[in-house]
Amino acid sequence: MSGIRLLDRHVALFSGSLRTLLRRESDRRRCADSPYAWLFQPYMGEELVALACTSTPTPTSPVISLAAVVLSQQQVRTSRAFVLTLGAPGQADHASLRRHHLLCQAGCVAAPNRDNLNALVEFIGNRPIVGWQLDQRIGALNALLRKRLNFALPNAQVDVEKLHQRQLRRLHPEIEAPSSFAQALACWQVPAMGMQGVLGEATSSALLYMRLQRIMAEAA
Amino acid sequence: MVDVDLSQLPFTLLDDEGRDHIRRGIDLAYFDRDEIILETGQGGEFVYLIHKGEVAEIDPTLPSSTSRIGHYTAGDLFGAISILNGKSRYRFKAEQECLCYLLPKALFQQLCRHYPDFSNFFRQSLTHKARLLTEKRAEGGVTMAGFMLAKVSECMRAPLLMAAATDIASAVKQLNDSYADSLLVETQGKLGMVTKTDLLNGLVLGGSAVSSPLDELAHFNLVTVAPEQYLFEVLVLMTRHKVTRVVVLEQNVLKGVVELTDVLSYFSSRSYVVSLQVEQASSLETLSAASQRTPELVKALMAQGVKLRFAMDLLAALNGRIMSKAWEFTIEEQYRDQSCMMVMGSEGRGEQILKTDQDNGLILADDARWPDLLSHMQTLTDTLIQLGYPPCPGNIMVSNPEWVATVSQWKSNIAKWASERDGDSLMKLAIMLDAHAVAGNPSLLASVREELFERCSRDELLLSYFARTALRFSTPLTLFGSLKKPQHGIDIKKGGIFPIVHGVRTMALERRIQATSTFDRLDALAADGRLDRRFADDLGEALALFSELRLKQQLTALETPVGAQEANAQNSSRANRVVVQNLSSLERDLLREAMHIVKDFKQRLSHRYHLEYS
Repeated sequence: MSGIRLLDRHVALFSGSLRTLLRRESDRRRCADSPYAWLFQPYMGEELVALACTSTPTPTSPVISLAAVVLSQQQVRTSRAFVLTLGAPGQADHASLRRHHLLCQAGCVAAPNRDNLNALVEFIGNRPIVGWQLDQRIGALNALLRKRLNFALPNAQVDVEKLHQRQLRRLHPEIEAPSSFAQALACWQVPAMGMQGVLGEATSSALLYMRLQRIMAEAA
Repeated sequence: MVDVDLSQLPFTLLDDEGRDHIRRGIDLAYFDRDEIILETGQGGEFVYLIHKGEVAEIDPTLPSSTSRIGHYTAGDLFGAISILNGKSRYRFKAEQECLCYLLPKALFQQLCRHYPDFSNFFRQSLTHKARLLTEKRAEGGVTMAGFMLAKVSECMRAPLLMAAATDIASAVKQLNDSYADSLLVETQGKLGMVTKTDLLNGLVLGGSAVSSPLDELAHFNLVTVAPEQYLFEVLVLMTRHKVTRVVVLEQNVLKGVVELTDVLSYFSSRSYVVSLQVEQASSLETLSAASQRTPELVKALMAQGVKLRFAMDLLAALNGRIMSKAWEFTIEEQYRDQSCMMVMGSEGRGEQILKTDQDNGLILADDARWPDLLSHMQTLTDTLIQLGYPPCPGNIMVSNPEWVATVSQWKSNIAKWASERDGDSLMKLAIMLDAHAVAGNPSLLASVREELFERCSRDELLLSYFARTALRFSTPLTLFGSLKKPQHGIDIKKGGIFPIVHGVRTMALERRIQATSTFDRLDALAADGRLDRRFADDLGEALALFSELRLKQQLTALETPVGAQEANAQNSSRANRVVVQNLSSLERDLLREAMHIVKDFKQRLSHRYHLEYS
């Protein structure tokens, strides 16, 4: 592995604010004896997880559609993707549920209970997370996790948008970078894979990440 | 579930459930430029469906100039055959950055088990590809079909040579002893042939005695071939010269004899049967029956993988015989010598495999006397229509008085066309250039042609006008050199066949080449030094490819039940269109290369005839 990628991983690990760092540390201590302890172990493998999240706040609990896809050096394992919409089917706002179903094409709707949140964190494991505007997007998910499982996602996070901005600045320092996801994909000639759905977004961000990694490796 | 376009073959062979399985089971992979996706001998783990980028299929055992045997672009599929075979025979390498969908081996095998059509698709394209490859590799571009590779030397019999002074009685005895039915005699260094029929005729009708010497019965004008010639050419020769035996000579030394029955035992195709029927036809009905069988013959030849050029030769010989038979039936003996019937257009070039239309004309001697000329010519045209040659839409037929003229009238016509140089005149000149005599007195056509060369071949201005037509239709290539892919297909006649045929025709006019077939013209031009040999060969191959694609379309159009007449008219224009999307990727590759050759040829034409600004 090239030096730049190693650096990337560690920068990603410490890229959050001091507050998130402290929060993660306290989470880790609290969960030291729970079955979740392994999630806080540093990850030594080669895989990452691309995560896309869309949430709509409702009076009771937010409706969250999310998709997670594992990617390695070369492949995006779309065949083993994790796609779910979290929202209480009975009481929650029906209109926003339906909208999520149509817009995000995100599989079945399930009430946010311990089981499916468990499945999600088990799927992600301690692998680093990759995503577009990750900080903003997973806020709602983290809040939900903290409520139900007592900790937020502890994983190292790579925000593809930041990578994209950084790479653009490196190439064209004087240009104001375009910031929408579609523009970024077009900019690096990454094909958009079914942009509407959350799975499409996760896949595209995975491809964009792979692409940017290669460009950086070339530049280094 | 991934959004992937499964509306193409082979996925259309699955039902919705199968396609859903695929969508659920595929992964994505990203390959860098020049990365090897699948190495030779490596076991296949995935079927790759390209979403973006290009992949080359490489045979690493070949020298690098010819090692690229396949090319895949977005939407193409590869790796399936590696799974079926257990390991990959070739190396697949990304030519650009590629994004592929990976269909895992287990899922693919499961789909093959559940959907037999799907599995057959891959097995078919495997055999199809193998056949194309072996054809490509065969020396000299000859197809591997055993049919075509048979040489004369494999099929000839030992000659039965007897002294010229032998008497008939001992000759018959010798013939019976050796189970032969013909023998050769040699007198004064010349070879002659005596067949059983000759013996019979000589004894019964000619009044020869049993003791008279053989050489008074022998024929000395023999058709000869060399032992390394293809047997197929022998068949063409036999058809052309109406003989059933040819003599094999190697550097003027007698090697053997090839008989019709020997050839027929080699070819179980119907070619000779049809030509025999044509020869034996004694009335219009039987001739018409024989003529109706030619499409069947073409199909048999194509199925056996005969090289198109040979098939064209054979068909041209057959069509010529049919025409001249029709001529013999309708025109009285006394007129035959003072007139010459010529066929023009594709038929004149010998490139009309199926009977698409009749273009013909008549040349009369200057002193000809022919009272009922018009009605005779109308009968001739009607006879040809009856024989299955549809009338020419441009009315270039002997029934049209414009295409019946004496030698001097033709000459003045040519002079007029050459000086006018408008579109119509140029077209008529082009038509006349391809004229080929099929019946009557061929020396009349020769003198008209001589005049044509005399008038035109040195006239640079006329040549330039003449050549310009070749550039009239654009080559269906995109700016980046790949094939255009319009929905209704590309017009292969306008885009490929016409520029080659017309360009070669122009050069032949300039160099005064007598041959009318495009292939022969190319050979002559290469011998003349006007074109280099390699380029001429490439042009010939490209033309053969286009004609073959077109013929395939025409044959499938023939197979569809014959509906109304207007449907037929539509078919003829559709037959020229090739839908690129339906071709296999190897064929697509060949077509693209061929189109590039056409493009190159057009550039040479515009350079030679100064067409840059026209």
